[in-house]
Amino acid sequence: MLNLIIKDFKTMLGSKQNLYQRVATAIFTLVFFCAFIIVELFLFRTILKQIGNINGAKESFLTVFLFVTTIILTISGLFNAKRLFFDNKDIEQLSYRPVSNTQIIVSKLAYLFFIHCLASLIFEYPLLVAYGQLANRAPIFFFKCIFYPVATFFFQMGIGLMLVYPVWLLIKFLKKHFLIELGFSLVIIFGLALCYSYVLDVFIKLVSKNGLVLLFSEEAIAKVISFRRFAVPVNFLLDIFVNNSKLSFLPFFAVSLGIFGMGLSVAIYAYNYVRNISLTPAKTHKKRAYKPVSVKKALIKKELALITKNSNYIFSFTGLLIVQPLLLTFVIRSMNASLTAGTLQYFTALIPGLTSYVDLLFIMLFTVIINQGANNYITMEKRTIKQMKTMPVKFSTQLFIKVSIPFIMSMISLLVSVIALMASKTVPFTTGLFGFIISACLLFIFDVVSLWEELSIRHLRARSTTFSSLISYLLPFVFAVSAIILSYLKVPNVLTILGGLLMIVLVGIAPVIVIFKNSGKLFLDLEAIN
Amino acid sequence: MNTTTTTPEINTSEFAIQIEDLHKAYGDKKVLKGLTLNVKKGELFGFIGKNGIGKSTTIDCLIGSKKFDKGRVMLLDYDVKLDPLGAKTTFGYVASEPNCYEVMTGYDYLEFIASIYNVSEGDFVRNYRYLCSRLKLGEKDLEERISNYSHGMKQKLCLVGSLLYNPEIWILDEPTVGLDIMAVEELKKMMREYANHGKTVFVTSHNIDLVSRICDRVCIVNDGVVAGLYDLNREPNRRLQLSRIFMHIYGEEV
Repeated sequence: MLNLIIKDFKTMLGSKQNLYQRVATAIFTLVFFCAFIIVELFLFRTILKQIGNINGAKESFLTVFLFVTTIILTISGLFNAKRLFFDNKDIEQLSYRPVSNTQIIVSKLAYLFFIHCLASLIFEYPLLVAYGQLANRAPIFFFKCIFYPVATFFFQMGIGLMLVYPVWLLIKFLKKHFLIELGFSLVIIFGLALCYSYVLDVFIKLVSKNGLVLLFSEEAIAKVISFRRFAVPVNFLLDIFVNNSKLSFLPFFAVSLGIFGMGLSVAIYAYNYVRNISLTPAKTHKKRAYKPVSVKKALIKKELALITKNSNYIFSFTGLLIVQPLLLTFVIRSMNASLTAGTLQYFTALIPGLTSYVDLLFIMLFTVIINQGANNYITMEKRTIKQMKTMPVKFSTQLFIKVSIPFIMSMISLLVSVIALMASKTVPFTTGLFGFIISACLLFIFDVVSLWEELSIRHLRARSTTFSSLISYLLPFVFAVSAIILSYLKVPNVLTILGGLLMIVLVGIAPVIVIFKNSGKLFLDLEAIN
Repeated sequence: MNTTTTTPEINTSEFAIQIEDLHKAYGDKKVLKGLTLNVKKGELFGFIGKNGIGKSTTIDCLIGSKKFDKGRVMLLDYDVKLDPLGAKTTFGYVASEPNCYEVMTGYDYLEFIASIYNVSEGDFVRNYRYLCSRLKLGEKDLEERISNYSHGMKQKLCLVGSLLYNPEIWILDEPTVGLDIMAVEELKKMMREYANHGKTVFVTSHNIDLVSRICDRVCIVNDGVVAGLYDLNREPNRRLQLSRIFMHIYGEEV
């Protein structure tokens, strides 16, 4: 049983990375979690301090925050359960091992329980602690809240397990119908972008003092208080943990167990069903006519197929490219609002180009980070790298086409984004124009460096992304900070931007020369996934 | 036991594959230490050896997938190092693990291969239909995404893809892995027929029975060089003894 749980952990966490990459991943994860908790606590504490005098408002806002985290953790649990229960390789491996179904299911539940408790402790416990501090709760409250994750597990995971099979069926359906999948993905990404912009808007209003009064009118607070009774199951849980209501405990516990039981039944039924069916879908037959195309066209078609027909890239690249103009407009608009109102107004007056440079920073960051979703040029080939090596087409031609496709897609999205920003008057013409030019240069260098990293993969190790990460994250920040300093020193904006452009070109020129000179040798030396 | 090691003379008109003094090392580990070998045109040639002895490395050097440290490899009139693109037009290659684009349908994949090798419409339709019928790969199968194929179906598709453009040399690295018995039997026939039509077949396999039954000549590689080269047509009794010779070369008790 323990071996099964360890196996699930190894499978889910991935064990292909070397020590350096694991440490780097752990640090990035830690930084991300810390940043998330800081933002979450900042928002929560600021709100609670603002509305602390109103009766029941603190508990209501705690309910709202916990309700949001409950939804996120339930969705996350659902997808964890989906990956655990419906992993084809896992099903195949376990089908002929001397382990019973009960052992398999219990080991997977143990894994889900651990992950849920960990996530809940990271994201929910700090909220309860912050509330306890501001509400001057007794020390026993803080101790009792440690068990909050355990109390939420059965209800949340019950819901997750109930939905796991329908979601698996839905994903299976979507994977077979590319256009429906793309449409569905766009709706989700669009929804997430709207949610993100709303949260950002609230955050900006909290930062600016005038906004806080507007945000928390009596009417708005009354709405939040009235929402509390609909926030199932968090309202019941807070009755138990905050109000020490013993009456709520038994009904909540019974309902949670009931839901968990139902969810578990669905998951067990689905698991047994999927174990015993062929995972190959029914065949369809269409008459086709052969259309011979040129070598270059064939390679372009292949690259497009690799990017657009792989569902992994829809969420990480193609979908994001489509919503990039919208997302960028939301974010930059919110950033500009924060820079032109409240305490930050002082800095904007002191540094004339501050708003422009922050806008440029976001345009650059969005462009390269979204492009990052598709620049695993060689890794995406997997075994077919041997096809690349044996086909009678120059390596340089193959690599050029390989890099060009995601680059051109990103450039189109960048162009549309900049036009949208200028048309909506979110940024002035000069910022939009320079944003496009600088981001295009950065993107080109970023793609070349990423290609070099991909070609440097040896002995089945994972790609090292140190240089591309420096290009994608550090360079825009270095540019923005230098530009802000120069602007403070009253250096004209045009000179600053041209200087920044020159810096980006100079930094990127070396890897570009190396890659163009050595692509053939690097390609032959590449022994990854062979 | 008599094991013959030969160093044939180079004659461009006679040989499809010429490997001369081939050296390849991975770091400090020398895998090939001066391998010299010639494969005649129209020959079905078996290349065998125990695991990790350098069979796949030799093939990788032949097909231009890995660079070698020293030596010369010729495919027909093309030097693999000096004219890699020319050399790559001469062969069809099948790896032990299927390596086709899984996001494509079988048909799209074959269409892709045909476009890369400039196969005309008529040849494409004729070749793929013939090859698919030989390997029992249906038209309906070809319309399906390769990711849904079984291992054996993927391997069959790779076999079809490797012959679609009618290459002069057919290089197969452990081609029977994952194939059912009927497909293995059909593949044996296809290899034999291909060689009978004047084309060259170079095959590695752990299946000594397969090699001893169908090959014209067999080479056993050991310690980075050719340890034994046998003409099974001239010495038919070797066909039955091949397993014993193999064991003897590796110092194993028979």
